[in-house]
Amino acid sequence: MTNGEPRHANDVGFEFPRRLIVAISSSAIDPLDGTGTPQALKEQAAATAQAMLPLLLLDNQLVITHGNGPQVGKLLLASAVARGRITPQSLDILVAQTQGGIAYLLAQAFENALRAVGSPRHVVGLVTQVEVDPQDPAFAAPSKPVGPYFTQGEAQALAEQFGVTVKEDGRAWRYVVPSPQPRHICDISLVEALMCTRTVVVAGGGGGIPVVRDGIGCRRGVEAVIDKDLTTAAMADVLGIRDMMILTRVPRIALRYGRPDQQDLGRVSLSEIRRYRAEGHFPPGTMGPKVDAAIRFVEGGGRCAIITSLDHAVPALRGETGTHIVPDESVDAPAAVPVAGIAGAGA
Amino acid sequence: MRLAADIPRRLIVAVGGNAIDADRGDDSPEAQKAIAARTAQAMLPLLLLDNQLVITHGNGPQVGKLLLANAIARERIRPLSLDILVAQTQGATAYILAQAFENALRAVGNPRHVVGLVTQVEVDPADPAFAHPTKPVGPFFPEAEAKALADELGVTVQEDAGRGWRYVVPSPKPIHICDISLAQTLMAMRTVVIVGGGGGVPVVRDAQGCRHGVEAVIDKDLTTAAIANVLGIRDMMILTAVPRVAIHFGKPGQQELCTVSLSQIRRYQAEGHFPAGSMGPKVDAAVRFLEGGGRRAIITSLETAMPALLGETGTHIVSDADFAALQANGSGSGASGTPSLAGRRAQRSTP
Repeated sequence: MTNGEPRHANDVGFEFPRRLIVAISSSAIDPLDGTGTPQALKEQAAATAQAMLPLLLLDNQLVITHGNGPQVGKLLLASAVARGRITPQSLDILVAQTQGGIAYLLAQAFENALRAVGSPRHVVGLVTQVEVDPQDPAFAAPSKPVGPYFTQGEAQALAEQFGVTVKEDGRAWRYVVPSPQPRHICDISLVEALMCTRTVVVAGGGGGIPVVRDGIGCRRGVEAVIDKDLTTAAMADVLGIRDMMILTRVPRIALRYGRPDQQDLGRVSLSEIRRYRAEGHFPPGTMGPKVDAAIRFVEGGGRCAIITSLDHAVPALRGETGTHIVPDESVDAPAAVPVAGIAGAGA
Repeated sequence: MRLAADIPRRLIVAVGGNAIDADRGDDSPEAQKAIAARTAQAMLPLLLLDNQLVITHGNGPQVGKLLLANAIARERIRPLSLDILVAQTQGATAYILAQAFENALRAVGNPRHVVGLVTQVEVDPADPAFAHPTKPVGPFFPEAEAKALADELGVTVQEDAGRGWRYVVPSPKPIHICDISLAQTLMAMRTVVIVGGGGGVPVVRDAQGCRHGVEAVIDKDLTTAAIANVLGIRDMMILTAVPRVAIHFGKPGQQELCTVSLSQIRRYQAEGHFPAGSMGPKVDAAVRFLEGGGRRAIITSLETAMPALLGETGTHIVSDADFAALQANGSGSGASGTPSLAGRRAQRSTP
């Protein structure tokens, strides 16, 4: 039964999921040009909070994850530039730093937006470790570019000094690191406990701090980054959250993106999206990981994965826009979660 | 041999910034994790008590390194403000400590959870500290570099005891711990909660209830006392480099303090026994904690945390009434802790 979970209808005028997880991208707090002053970061976070406010005001259980690409990139660059005077930190520690910095900025901006309209709802940021499999094939073939662009000479000096892998990436050289699959979200019961108190929980930032676990249950950090959308799907799965929203730059994903015959996707079944993926419509550097995460989420029992932009989050939740990826059996049942129908349902 | 009655039901423990970072020498990621593992080993007996436990920590060395990296890389990366840097150190330190603590617990087969929360702490925008930045933070710079940084970044720098130039920032008092109810929820589930790292991310609140980060650092021991008071935690332990606080420290008449009343410690404080850069803030925090409803503040070293909790060592600061009760029991001037503890010990030693 895919549509059995109760939905609420309240004065916001539409039905919404009782539990929801939303992945926002790293651009939510960092202007895309990457040069942000602290003030610019805070203004960006405030704009994100304004766009998210209708979601924050729903009286439901809400978990937020976020990316950290530009932030971890800046820490890696600072590490490299300052390496003569400061011992560089490992990637697990840098990810933890970005979780702290971003959770602070987001929690403050979200709470400020809530207070400005008189809502006392709490927002909390948790430091999250995520376990990966030490045998994950990704460790043998680092492929994920991270951090700043270096000249060839600089990159090769860094590679020799730190034992990092560097690779030419279009215009310049970058670090490449393994990107293993998330296998277990550590201490997820604490996210659940806070979520149940109606606290908005910011967790799993940057895909989580990558760790491996030994035979007696002890963990240690590894040099890797975990895809934040896959981590979001894994968190949704273990928390029993059946609605997931991934926020990106476009209101809908498209087939033949950027071509004259581009076709935006509204409501799509799992089988259909798998077919499009096999046809190569979703490039690995952009929409690919989001579609992968959506597929994994629906395979794991999710009811609806929505991919849309920050500005369209609320209309998408209402079914008015966004790409909605659903199990095969519910795609032909528009009464359940119609793309354009929910708006009137709760009115 | 431990008696359940000896163990406070709720306990808050402040560990130093050196719990994950050597003051000098190797500070590689591996070295930091090794130090954290040693800290976890020393804390393990406390972690294994089935009580409600909150941990706070310093961040001096960590925020210092971020400030230095900011300064060195400023041509290529826009420097971040101090509130964001403190939040970054909270993330990293909470990670390293939580991992080390959980590993120590798992190694002895204990499934207890440890969680780190990012914590904002409100300060008063009218706090006089903002008019007089006095707290040195971060690395030492040569004079010329310090002055260039002051010009470029608008920071305040000051010569520090002949060792070089440092940033100085305001150190206002904590007035409110944000979202502390969440720490309470987790604590009540017997999760070890790491909170208030580095004294908390310093923020001010406007009339609407909106918060804004400020350039300041908050003393972590004062924040610990504030957290304890608002959570109704009546036992606070501050871990430092020495097992006991001393008067006439480093002088011929040096005398270690065992159990001290609030009035007595205030007197020592007024006599100038506790220097501002070292034991002063810890004693201040202990005084404030007792004034705010605390029952017992223990100042001791990491290594002696558990013996101190059992009353075998450490400096125990208690209310005047409790101190009098201890005196009446004939154990007040000894190393024993609380009245109830002293009572139990007396029973045990009775044949």
